[in-house]
Order: sequence, then structure tokens, then C-alpha cells
Amino acid sequence: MTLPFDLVILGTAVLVAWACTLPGLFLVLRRQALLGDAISHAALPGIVAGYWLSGGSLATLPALVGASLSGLLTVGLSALIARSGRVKEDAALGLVFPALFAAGVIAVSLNYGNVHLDLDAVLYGEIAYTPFRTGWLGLPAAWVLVGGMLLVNALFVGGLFKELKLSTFDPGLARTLGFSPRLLSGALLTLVALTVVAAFDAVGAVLVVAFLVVPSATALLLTRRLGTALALALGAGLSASVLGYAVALALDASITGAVAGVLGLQFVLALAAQALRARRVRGRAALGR
Amino acid sequence: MSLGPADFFTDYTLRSIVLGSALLGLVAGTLGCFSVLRRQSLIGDTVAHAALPGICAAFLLTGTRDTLGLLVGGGISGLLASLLALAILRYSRLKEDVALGVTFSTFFGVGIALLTAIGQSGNAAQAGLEGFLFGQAAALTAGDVTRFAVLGALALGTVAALHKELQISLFDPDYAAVQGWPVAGLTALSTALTVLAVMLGLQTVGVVLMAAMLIAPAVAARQWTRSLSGMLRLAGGFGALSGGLGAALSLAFSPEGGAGLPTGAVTVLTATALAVLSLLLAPGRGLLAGLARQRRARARLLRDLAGGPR
Repeated sequence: MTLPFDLVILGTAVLVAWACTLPGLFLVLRRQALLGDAISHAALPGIVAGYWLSGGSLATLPALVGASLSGLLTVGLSALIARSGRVKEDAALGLVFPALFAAGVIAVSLNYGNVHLDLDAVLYGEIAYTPFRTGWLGLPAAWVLVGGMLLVNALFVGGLFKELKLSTFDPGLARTLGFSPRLLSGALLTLVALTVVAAFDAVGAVLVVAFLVVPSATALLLTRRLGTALALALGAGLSASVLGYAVALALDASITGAVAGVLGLQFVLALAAQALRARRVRGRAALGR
Repeated sequence: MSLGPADFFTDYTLRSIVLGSALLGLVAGTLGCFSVLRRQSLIGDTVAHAALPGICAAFLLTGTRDTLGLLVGGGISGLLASLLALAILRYSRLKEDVALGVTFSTFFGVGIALLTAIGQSGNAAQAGLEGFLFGQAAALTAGDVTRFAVLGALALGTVAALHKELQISLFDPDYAAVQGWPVAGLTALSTALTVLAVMLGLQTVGVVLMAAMLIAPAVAARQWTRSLSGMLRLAGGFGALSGGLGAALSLAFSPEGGAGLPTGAVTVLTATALAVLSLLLAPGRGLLAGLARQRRARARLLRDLAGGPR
């Protein structure tokens, strides 16, 4: 069975969009929006280690496991540094991930100086190749991997929605009521690390980082209700995938880049709408109505 | 080629690389203090990524890979991205991390779309355009060092001249606004200086590692001092030290005839090591000093308790 190319590519984009948006919304609310970027770069030493262990092949199970482990290491180390109270969260993250990335770069240059370990492919990804890689049941490999991640994320967010909401907005109350915000946060971040790795294998780090942050940010400009925000963000990811794909075909440009561009455009429109509305509300208040 | 310290005075390439990296570290370290204190540590990462569409646009406009033109193009789009991030902070409830995340991922995405569109057009000169993003300290020339020195002096001179204004709009923007100072303008100015530092560093250490050159020296310096001017000076010193030392180490440990250790990566690891050591060892704020204080307090408490009620 072969599926049409367009369907495979679009399906992959939408699966990645939704798998990223589910945990991404909570990252945005928790001031951890840049974690995706950090994980995707810090994964390099893990990828190199997996590459070395598997005897020289990218995008294999050892490389994916290695990437996930170094993603988790990023999360853990930066939380540890931030918890010392000497460094703010953003600076802690900015200390950890470039160091891990630098270690990866050095490992590559020492061991694989003459092998073409294609970093561009890891960072940019090439969603247009997804139709050529089939996995389980003859389905595209990306669908299986990212679809599985989407399922896990949906079960997690759907099953623990109330708990996530409470521990995001009022961790103190959550703790008092007997939930463990730290455990929940650890589970969320683990899912983010796994999702980033699973998805950037298919579409590259750029689109993963964009999908983690931008649709949720757009949605949060438009509503203050969490459920509505989630629905809006999922819709934004879907429409940006379709529009971005069309733009990429028209311009003969990278699909990943075009989708990210459309996401940015959606955000700017929402920001403008919000700024206009705020001005109207202020104007009315000034008139005393 | 194996290099010793004495070669610093005779070897042109070595001197350019070490001096250039140290200058870059000095400028980035000093300016990084502002973004770290403003909780916008990753603005360097944002600007560095957001430079891509500008680099592509500059290439499309000029048709050449002339370094200066590409840097100016990249600087303009980096500046646009950082101003957009500041606008998001101002006009919405979204926080710093989201503002940076949204701008960098979408700008970088547009850049990649442009890059691939240029690639499809079959323009041979575009080859290696993205190599620009990965940094190549070994390519530093005496001319680059001179340029770093001039632009760096300009940036640091601005910081020195506007020190008081920048400080108050950083720590107490409301007070500064009441005093009639253009807080938004001053913030944009210090951000623009950061963009300048990033564009200087892009060629040397590359996109990702540039973030660390802004953050690590500032984090290290923060542990040793409580004043902004002290922090600025120390961070500049730490930055210069990691740049110079990193470059020297990477050259000294390069295997004979091998590709060599990437200077940017070694520089970043040096800066990170300085930051970690400062976190552990600094008097007062250091973790070890804190531990010792805790132990002393506990011993005193136990002694007092053992003494019983008086």
C-alpha cells in the first residue's frame, strides 16, 4: 500500500503539530518555552554517542535513545542549577545546553572529522523525505513514531488535565491538596524531551521548536481559558501545516521553513488583533462607558 | 603543527585567533550582563538564529557572499527580531521566554525557507551560505581583529557613557520613567548592542555557542560581586579569559595534521567551567560558602541548645 506523498507529508506535519502543542501549552504557561530549543541542541552528544554505539548510523534506535537521554540531562541539570537559587531559570538553561552542544561538537570533530555526520539534517530536518521511510504495517515511519508520541501525550494531558492546570497555576495549592507538582512537572518535561526527539527525527528541530511554542502563544493571546486555548492552538497548528505546505509548494522552498513562517504570521495577526482590542477597551474606559 | 606560548609573538594566525576570540569574549561578556539580569539570557540565541533570513536577503540583494554585507543583513533581521520580542513583552501578557521562542523559531523558519528557495534557484555562489552560521575561528584575520576592536570599543564606550541611565532603567524602570528617561529607548539600545556582539561572534563561535558567550561570563561574574559596574568589568574579564584561553587550548591540543578542536566549542566549555567554578567557590554567594555557613549555624544552634535554658 502506498499513500499519496502529499497526504504523508501533511499528515506528518499535523501529527507533529498536535504532539508538540499538547505539552507545549503547559511549557508556555510555565515560562519554559525555550526548553524545546535547548533539548534539540543538547541532544547532539547523545546522538553522537548513539551513532558510535550503533556502529555508525544516524536516526537509529540508539541515536534516538541517546538524544532522549541527553535531552533529559539538559532538563535535570538546568533545574538543579536553578534550584541552587544563584542563577535564574533562563540563564541556567543557557549555561547547560550550549555546553552540552559544545561537547557534542568536539566529539564529532575528534571522532568523525572525516565522516559526514550530517548536522544539517538533524537541525533542519527534511519532512519531504518522510514518504520514503516506511515503518510498522507499511505506514510511514514518522506516522508511527510521532503518532505514538501524540497518543501518549493526549492520554497524559487528557487524563491529568485538572491536575496539570492546578499545578501550573497554583503549585502551592496543588501541594497542599496532596498532588506532587514536582512529579507532574518531571513527567511533563520527560514527555517534552521524548516528543522533541521523536519529532525532530521527522521534521527537524526548527519546526519542533516552533510547534512547541508558537500555536500556544497565539492561542493565549486570544483567550484566557485553558480549554479554549488548547483547542485554538491545535487549530492553529493544523491550519499552519496546510497553508505552509501550499506556500512551500508554490515557492519551491523548505516545507519546514514555510510552515514555521505561517505560524509566525498567525501570531503577528493575533498580536495585532489583541493590541487593537486593548486600545478600544482603553478608549471606552476613558470615555466612561 | 604544534604551537607553544612563544609562537604567540611570531605566528600571525595564532595571534589573530587568540586576540580576536579574547576581544569577542570581552564584548559579549560585558553586554551579556544586561540580558541575563533582564531574564532574557537567551536573546543571544534568538538574535543569532534570527540573523538567517537577513543573511539570505542580503545575499539575494547583493548576489555575493561578501562578509560585511551578509553581517549587516543578518544584523538588521536580528535587530528586527529582538524589537519584535520587546514589542510582544510590551503589548501582551506573554513572558520573556515565549517572546524569544516565538520570534526565533519563526524568523529561523523563514530563513530556512529563503535558504532553500535560493538553493533551488541554482545560484552556485550560495554554497556555504549556511556555513556562515556554524562559525570558523580559524578563519579570523588581522582585519577581523581590527574590526572587533573598533566595534567593541564603540559598544563598550556606549555602555560606559550611559552606565547610570542603563542601570536605573534595568533595575527600576518605573522610577526611570517617572524621571523622564526614555526607558524603552534605553532597553532597545542595550538590545541593539547585544545584537552587535552576536553578529561579531557569529563568524567565530557560531549560532548556538554564541548564546553561551553572553551568558556564562555574566553568571560567573554575578557570583563575585553585588554591583552592576563590578559585574560588567568581571564579566568582560571572564569573557576575554575564556576567549583567549579557549582559542589557545584548541590550538595547542589540535592533533598533528588533524582537523583540530573547534575553537568555538572549546571557548564555550572554558566559559562554562569558569561559571561552574564561580558558582561553587565564590565567597559569599558560592555554594560551598553557603554550605559552610549552614554548618556553622547548625553547630551554633546545637551548642546553644545543649547549654539548656538560661
